[in-house]
Amino acid sequence: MSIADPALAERISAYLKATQGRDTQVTLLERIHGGASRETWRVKLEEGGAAKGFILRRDPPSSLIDTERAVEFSAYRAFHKTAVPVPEALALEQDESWLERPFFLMEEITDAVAASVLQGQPYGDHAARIGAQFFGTLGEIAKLDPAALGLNWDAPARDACWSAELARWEKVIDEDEREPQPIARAAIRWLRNNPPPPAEKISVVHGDYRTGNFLFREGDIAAILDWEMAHLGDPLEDLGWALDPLWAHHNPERPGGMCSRAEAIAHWEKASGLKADPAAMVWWDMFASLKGLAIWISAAAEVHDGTNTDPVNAFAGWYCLAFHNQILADRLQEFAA
Amino acid sequence: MTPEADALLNIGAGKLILEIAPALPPGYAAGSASTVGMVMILAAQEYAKGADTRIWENARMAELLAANGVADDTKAASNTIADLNTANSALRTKLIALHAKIDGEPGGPARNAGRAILAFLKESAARRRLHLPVL
Repeated sequence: MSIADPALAERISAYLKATQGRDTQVTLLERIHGGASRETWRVKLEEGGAAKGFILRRDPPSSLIDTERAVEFSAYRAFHKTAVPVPEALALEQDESWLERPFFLMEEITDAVAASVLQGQPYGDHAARIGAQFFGTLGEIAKLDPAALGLNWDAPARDACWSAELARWEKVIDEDEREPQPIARAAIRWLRNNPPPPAEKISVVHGDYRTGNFLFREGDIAAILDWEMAHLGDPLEDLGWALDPLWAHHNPERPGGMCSRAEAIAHWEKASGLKADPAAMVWWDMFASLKGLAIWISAAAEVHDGTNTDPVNAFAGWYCLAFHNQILADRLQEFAA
Repeated sequence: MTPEADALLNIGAGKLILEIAPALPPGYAAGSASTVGMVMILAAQEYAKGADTRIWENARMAELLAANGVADDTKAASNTIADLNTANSALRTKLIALHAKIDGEPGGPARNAGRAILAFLKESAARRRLHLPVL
């Protein structure tokens, strides 16, 4: 058993004793490699002679995306009651005195793995089955009523989903670009001048629903993770993001490295009861790559400014930014032809 | 200098990704070692083509600005990446303003100028694209 950060382990034990009356000893504490928007730690405890484990999600000193941990926590809590597989949310702590930064605790999903976007075929022979579950689960999220889930977040009007999201990510680019971004600016103008039809309904939008952000065992999805960018909006936003070429594991003909685009959309439509209007998808596909570009511009800024030099940010600020610039530039020229 | 920096970066990346990261316990340190290795592969590509890409971009942007009547006397102080970047940012700022102005104008000349800028952006993005080995 290893304790990667003994001081943090002591603080976790003190927190559990003070807030939950639990007399525990942390026996394992290891940081999990992944996104840079939250620190993720695997924690094992010995409590009354029994071993227990959970996941700690703590705000980093500087966050790639300014997300609200309460939003992520409430999304886990809401969907735990549904057919969407998520870990159980256990506790949310906003008081920074306990672990220096806000955090929440959630159930650990064991014996399951997440794909790396660098892998060629992470799902192997299970790709089609995983694809059906992945896009079907996204349809299930789109189908559910946010109010019935208890998620009473601010909801845009059906005809304002696109403009609200475009404004949100344009602001990120305005604030975080450290060099002028001509492709991003051209893409923003195109998106503003060619709005999509109104949303068919207002749904919970996961915000980062893609390969790499779920755990799977063999041919089954075990948990949908990383809800930190969840909000209410047009469900096609998530579909466009999940279908983006960056997440295709080097094969653009197989979105998410799972199945064809037509199959993916069919799974989503069947589960959601909604239609993925092709005209609307042109806009949401374009937006997905612009949103990605904004995130990578933020990552590059974090490294440039020295506020979060996690190597994931350096990688995203170079490779992913160049990738989405090319996707957007190719589409812009195609539209102008 | 032989070996060149890109060769050294690729050798170092191979050590990190194929030898050091697998020897570490699974977790943050192993993942970060692999990611640093990937960034080194990207840095090797930037070393090899970074100056050439920027010199080409700067010359092409100057041509586009001149063709559309935008006054510009931007010149890089040298061919170091830092100086090329300074000129590149100045030219990009002017190109963005020109593109926004053209996008709002009707007529064939504006449309043709817009297409020329989009062709430049496509070529620029292709030249700046970085590539990774499939794992």
